[in-house]
Order: sequence, then structure tokens, then C-alpha cells
Amino acid sequence: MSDFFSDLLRATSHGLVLPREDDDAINRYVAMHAGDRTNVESRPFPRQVDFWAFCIATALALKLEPRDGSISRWGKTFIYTNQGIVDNDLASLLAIVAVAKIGLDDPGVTESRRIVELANRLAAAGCPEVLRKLQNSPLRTTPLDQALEFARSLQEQAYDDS
Amino acid sequence: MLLIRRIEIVNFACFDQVEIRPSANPKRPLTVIRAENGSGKTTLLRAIRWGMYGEQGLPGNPGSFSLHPAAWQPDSQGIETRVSILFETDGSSRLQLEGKPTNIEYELRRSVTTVHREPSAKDEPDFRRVREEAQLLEREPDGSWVPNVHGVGRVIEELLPWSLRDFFVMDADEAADFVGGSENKEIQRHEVIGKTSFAVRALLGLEVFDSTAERVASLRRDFERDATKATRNAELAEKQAELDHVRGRLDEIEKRLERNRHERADTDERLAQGRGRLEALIGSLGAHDALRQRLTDNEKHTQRANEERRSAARELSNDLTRVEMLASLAAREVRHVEQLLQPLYDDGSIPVRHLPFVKRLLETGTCVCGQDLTSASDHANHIQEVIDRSTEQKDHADHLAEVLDAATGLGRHADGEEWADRTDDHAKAVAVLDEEINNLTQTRLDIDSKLDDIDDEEVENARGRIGMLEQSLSKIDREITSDQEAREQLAKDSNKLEGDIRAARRQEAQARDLERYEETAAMLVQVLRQAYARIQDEQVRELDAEMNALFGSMAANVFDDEAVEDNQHKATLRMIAKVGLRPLEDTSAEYEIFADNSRGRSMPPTEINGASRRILALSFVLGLCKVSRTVAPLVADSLLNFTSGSVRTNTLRVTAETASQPILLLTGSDLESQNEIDLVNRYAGATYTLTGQWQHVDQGGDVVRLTDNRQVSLLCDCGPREYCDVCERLGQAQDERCTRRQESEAPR
Amino acid sequence: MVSNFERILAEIRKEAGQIAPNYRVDPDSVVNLIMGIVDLEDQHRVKAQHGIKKKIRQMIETAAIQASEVR
Repeated sequence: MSDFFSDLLRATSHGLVLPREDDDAINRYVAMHAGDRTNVESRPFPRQVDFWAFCIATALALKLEPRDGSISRWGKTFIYTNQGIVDNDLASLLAIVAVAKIGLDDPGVTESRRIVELANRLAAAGCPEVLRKLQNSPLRTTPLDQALEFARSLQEQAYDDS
Repeated sequence: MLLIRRIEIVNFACFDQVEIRPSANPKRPLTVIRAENGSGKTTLLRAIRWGMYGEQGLPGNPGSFSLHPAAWQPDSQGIETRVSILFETDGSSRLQLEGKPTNIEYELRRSVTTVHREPSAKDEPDFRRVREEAQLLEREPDGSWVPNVHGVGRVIEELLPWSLRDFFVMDADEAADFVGGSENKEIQRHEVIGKTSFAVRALLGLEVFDSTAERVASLRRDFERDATKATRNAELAEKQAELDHVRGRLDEIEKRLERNRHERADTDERLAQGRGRLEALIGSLGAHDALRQRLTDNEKHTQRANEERRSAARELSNDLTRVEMLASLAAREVRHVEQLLQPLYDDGSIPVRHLPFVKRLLETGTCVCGQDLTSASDHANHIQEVIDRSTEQKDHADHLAEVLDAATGLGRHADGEEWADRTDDHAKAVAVLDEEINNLTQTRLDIDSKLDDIDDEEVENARGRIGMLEQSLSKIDREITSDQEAREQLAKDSNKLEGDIRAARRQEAQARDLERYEETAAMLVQVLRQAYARIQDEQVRELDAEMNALFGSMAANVFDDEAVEDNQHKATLRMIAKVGLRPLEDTSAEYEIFADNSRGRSMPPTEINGASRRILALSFVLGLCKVSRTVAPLVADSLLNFTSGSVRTNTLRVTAETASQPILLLTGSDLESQNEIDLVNRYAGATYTLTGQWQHVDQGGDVVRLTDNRQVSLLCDCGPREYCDVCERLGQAQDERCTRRQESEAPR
Repeated sequence: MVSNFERILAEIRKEAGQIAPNYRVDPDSVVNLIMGIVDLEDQHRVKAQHGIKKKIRQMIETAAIQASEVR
């Protein structure tokens, strides 16, 4: 498999962004550092980019509108694309989403800047939903269980709609 | 052989006049004297012991036990108490060697008169005994009775030695001394060993053997010394003095060795008790250690399960990052893009596939339709336009083609089933491990609580005590070893000196006779010692096997009932697997009765229950009599106490079958079951019933008739399920198992 | 009360039979001598016999002299 899309994103530097106001809450569900996998039950996401991707998928499944407004006002960059954080699978999915949401008429649909911006706005839209789900874990249910359970319910919803 | 033919008791405590004729029928050797508790059983036993041994046979301080009837009012005239025992012996001993007739009948008569005396102190009795007489009569071939020339003491000591009283007149409580005492009486182990060893040595004749060998050996030394003296050689005399010195030191060491052996025996016993306590305390050290091992195993398993679980949870967490899942959430967008781009792909717009072809057309100068493209024409211009536009859109179109390619790839996962299946598998793995961890935790809690039950401090204390005892044991052992080494060295020295002396002396003519004597004595010592060793070795082994067989047939599979209720594990520990007699290590003259549990540990007497102790002592008495071919009466009280069920039946049966003349004092409850009655019917050649008049209904008892209004105990001939005017008790007339004995004799 | 004399006697016979020839002595006289001494000793055990040691010494001396005469 070629690395077409991951190369595309690595070629220029775009920040991956999550809402600043959710920064603390998000960090509670992400492993403390690379290799910290001792506590996956309460910190189910290995990296912030995994959380970010999950938020995008959530927004899509729930048909949420991308968050508008100036990203620099509400967003906090946690990493840049030129650091090679986005693998080709995720990058392809982001490109697909861009085509689906922006449409073929806009020539900018293939630009990495636009693809990432759309992804950031979708992530910001899905983020509160993901956090709400994680924070409302019933007793004896771990955030990991809760995230998996949430993924399943979203899956059913998305599949039915498509 | 000694058998009792008649016992007559007159004016002895609660007995007015009583005569017992024990069975002399070898096929029915058993004599049963039935008596309820408090009817005078123990008094009867005392009367017999007094008859045999006099004052020595009575409990308490000399003279304090009142022999006279309770009803007797102290007066100066006094009252005569008399016990007469008629017995027969075949003189199977020294007496036989004196050439006496094979069977001799003796009558031992002992009498004493009790008179009044003013007590001088408050606690003193108001009587004293006068005119105590003991007489031993021997029946001549013509039937007349003449006093025996040897006198009472000597013949009784010869035939019924006091130290062997438990063999002939046995109070089962006292007989338990052979196995470390009864319930309320603990005896030092070396005392027990002394008593046991004495019995073994006396009945097997080892005692006399030993003293003979000892005496001849001492004579041998005398001969040797005299021989040396006879040479009048100064150097030899010096060596002789040295030899005497060495022998003196050897004697000292022997004494110390014996002391240390006793101490060792006592320490050994305390150690066995300590170990028993420890075992009881924690079930067993093994179980304790096994629990600890299980705990360690459990910790290891738990650690492994936790690691596996963490790894399974990591898989689950990784599932959250899989693109299949993300794609399935974006299924709508993926499908939409596929639908959008597929037509563009189909019509060749993406990617731009025609560009190289069209460029080649311009280069070759001829179109596919045949038109010339070298000169500027509309057609050529059009183609150039297509090339320009396509070049401009190429990147865009290539991008979209890649997007379509990706969408087609991800579209395959859009239903999310594959992801869900995989996640399910991972979740199941976690659940399975969760259960395993739960189980392990539960097990751990169980083990913890079991370990909590064990009082660590007590265990440590018990271990500490054992450690200390083991230390003192090893100290004693070291002393013994060093003494043994010294003894060996001294013996060598002494041998060398003997050799030197002998060599020098041989040249001396005067010494020759003495040498011959010495040689003869040496030979005698050799014969005696070897015969001794063989008898001891073989007969003690026979006795050991005999005891185990007897014990087994009386008490096979006896459990300690109390302990069973308490704890099955402890019960097994207390179950006796093997009993017997063994010589004490390292000494040829002392023996000990032992009982090993199923794990081969020697059980201290405190761990053996009352019934087992009695049976063990009885096994020893019966076994020793059998092995030493001793034929003698066994008058036994409380033999069946603490026993029940098959053990009681077997004890009665084995006693009746093994003892030469068992005379058993039994209570009604000893004879409650039909099994015992059957045994009595089969083996008893004589039966008696003893009835205390003070147990009359008017006095709160259950004896129906008052035959004699004095406070006496009456004897009738009733068997265990018979009654008569003398012995009838309430309820017997209605009990269909009991029959009235018609030819009711006058009470004796 | 030693009922074991038969056994003792048998054992002494056996041992004397093996040992006495080494001393060039008749086994039967050894058995008799020993049983005589054992008897005295047994009597002494029940009731102290005066001069027992001297008696036994004489028995051994006599036996030794008799044996040497036979040789």
C-alpha cells in the first residue's frame, strides 16, 4: 500500500487541534506518556491523535456539523502533521471525509490544509459527545468499556443510515 | 505356674465372710465377679493384695487403712481380720530344681487383730492393729499341711514379686503405669522404663542371668589379680594397679552413661510431647507449609493472570484506534464518496489516463483517425488544448483516484462486523481472566483465613521449645558419644594391660592354677553373655510381635472419639498404627513400650486415650506372660473402663483366651451387651455377684431385699443375667433377659 | 517366678556346646556349673545368701581343676 495520504500530510505542517476548554478532560482519558499502558482501563486512548480520530468518527456517525468559528480562538494544537503522527489509513479516511463533505466542485478538496481543517472542526464537534459518554460511566464500568460500548452503538447507527 | 484355688476373706472392711473359688477349668478359665460401682470391688482387690503382700499392699500411710468391718465398735477385745489364699504351683523355677514334687499346694494365711486405742492427735485413727501374722502352709503328699521352711516373704517374693503385682492383681488404672500413667497421673519416662524393664527382665529370667554373669566376671578379675600377686613381680603389680584404676574409671563412665541415658529418655519424651502439641496446634507443620506454598503459588498465578489481563485490555484499547472501526463510523461518507467518484473513474476522468497517449499522437504527427497533426490545424489545436487541460488537472484527478481507491478499500469494513467480532474476542479474553483472577482472589482469602486460624505466636513458641529440647538432646548425645569413646579407649587400655599382665605372668608357675580358674570363669562369662544376648534378642522380638498382635485384635481401628469430633486430621494422628516393646537405644538392659501413629511418630502417653492405654498395658501383661510361659492369675479391676463396642468385646475375649486364669471384676454396664454375655457364657467357669447392702431401696439404692442389715457386701453365685434373693435389683424381675436363680444359697 | 528356665537352659546348652570345646572342656559339665551358679544367684535374689561369692568361687575352682585332670 502506498503512503500517498500520509506523505501528503507530512509534506506540510498543519496543527491537529482539539478544543482548548476540554484539554484537561481529554488528558484524563489518554495514556500519560508513550508506553504507559498499565492503566488502559481508565485511559483507553494510547495517544491524543487516537482520541482526536475517535472524535471525528463520532461526529460523522452522529451527523454533527463541523465546529465553526476561528479555530485559533477555541483550538489547542497538540501536534503537527509534519511529525508523521497520522498514518496512511487515518489520512485516507480524512481525505475521503473531505471529498464527502466539501464536494468535488471545490478544487480545494484535495488540499491538505483543507482536509486537516475539516478534520479539526469535526473532531471539535465530536469531542463533547465522546467526553460526555466517558464521564458518565456507570459504576464498575471502566472508560475503556464505555468507549468500546459507545463505538458499537455509533457503528450500528452509522451502518443503518448508510 | 501359679493358680489360685480359693480366696477366703473374713472381717475385711465391708466383707463379713466371703469365699471365691476361681475357675480351674483350662477350657473355661474365666471367673467373672459382677459388682456395681460402690459394691466393694476395689475393696475385694485390696483384700487380695493385703493377703499377698500385707501392709505393703494397702494404700495410704502404713497402718492408716482400716481393715476392720465398718460396723465394728472399737473395743479392747478387738476383731480379727483374715485373708487366706489357697494356690497351687508346679514350681516351674528354682524350687523345681530343688527336686520338689511337681505340683505343690500352698495356703497363705494372713491375719491381724484391730483393737481400740485413744488417738493422741486429732487426725490419728482410734484403732491400732496387733498380732499381725502371716503363715505359709504347704500340703504334704499325705494331705497334711505343714509350715513351709522358707517362710512367707521368700516364697511370695519368689512366686509373686511385689514389683510384678500388676501382672497378677491388676488395677487397670495402675497397670497404665507401664505406658506412662493413667489420666490423672503422669510419670517420668525413666520410671516407666524402669518398671517395664524390670518386668521384662524378671519374667524372662534375664535379671538372674545378668547378675550371674556379673558375679562370674568379677570373680574372673579376682582370679586374675590373685594370679598377678602370686607372681610377686613388682612390675606386674604396678601394671595391675594401673588396670584396677582403669577399671574404676570405666565403672564411673558406665554410671554416667546410664544417668545420661535416663535424662535422654526424659528429654526425648518431652520432645515427643512438644511435637505432639505442635502437630495438634497447627494440624501439622506440613499442612502449614503446604498452605504457605499454596499462597506463593496463588500469588504467582495471580501475577500471571494480571499480566495476561493487562495485555488483553491493551488489545481492547488498541481496538479503539483501528481504522476499520473509524471507517465504519464514517460509513455514510465512505459510500457517498464511492458513488461520487466511481463514474469519474469509469469515464477515465480520474486518474488522467489518456495524457501519455495523446502526447504520443502529437509526437508521431498522426491522429488515430488518420488526420495529419504536424501542421497547425483545428484538430491539432484541440488535441493540444486537451493535453494542456489534462496536465493542469492531473494532480487533482490523481488525488481523487487515490481517494476512490481508499474508499473502496475501507468500504469493505464499513459494516464494522469484523471489528466487532475481534473486539468481542478480546473482551471475552478479559472476562475469562477476570473470572480467573476472582477465583484466585477468593482462594487467597480462604488460605489467608486458614493461616489466620493458626496462631503464629504459639507455633513459634512450640517450635522454640522443640528447638531448645533438641539442643539439650544433642548436648546429651555428645556427652554420651564422648563417654562411649572414652569407654572404648579405656577398654582397649584395659585389654592391653590384661594382655601384658597375662603374658608376663604366664612364666610364673604359681599363677597357673589361678589362670586356669580365670580361664574357666572367662568361658562361663562368654557362655552366659551369649545365651543372655540371644534370649533377650529373640524373646523381646517375640514379645514385641505378640503385643502388636494382641493390641491389634483388641483395638483394631480404634479412633479417639473425642478427637474425631474435634478434628479428623488430629484423629488420624492419634490413631495407633503399631505398638510393641523396644530396647532403648544403646543399652541392652532397658526396654520401653511404644505406640507409633500412622505416620511412624512415637506417640507420647499424653496423646494416647484412656482405653488405648489400658489395652496397651494389657497387651504388655498378656504378651509377656505368654512369651515367658508364665502361668499366673490375673485379678483385674476396671479393665473395661473407657472401652465400648467392639473394643470392649474384643478386650474381654482376648483376655479370656490369653490369660491363664483371668478373674475379672466387672460392672453391670461392662456386661450390658449380648456379645459380652456370650463371651462370659463361653469362657466363664465361675461367676459371682457382689451386692452392697447399703444399696438397698430404703437407702436410695436399687437392691430389692435387705438380706443382712449390717453394712456388708454379700457374694452370691449369680451370673451376669441372673438374680436371686440376695442380689435382685429393681427391674430385673421384669427384664425378660434376666432369670431368677432358684437354688439360692445362703450368702457367703 | 521365673517360668522361662527351660528356655534359658536350652540356650545355655547351645552356647556351651559351641564355646566349651574351644577351652577343651566338656559342655555338659559347663551347663551344670552354670545352672548351679544361676540357681544360687536366683536364691540370692529372693533372699540374700551368706557367702555366695565364696561358694561360687569354689565351684569354679573345683570345675577348673576337674577339667584339667580330665585333660
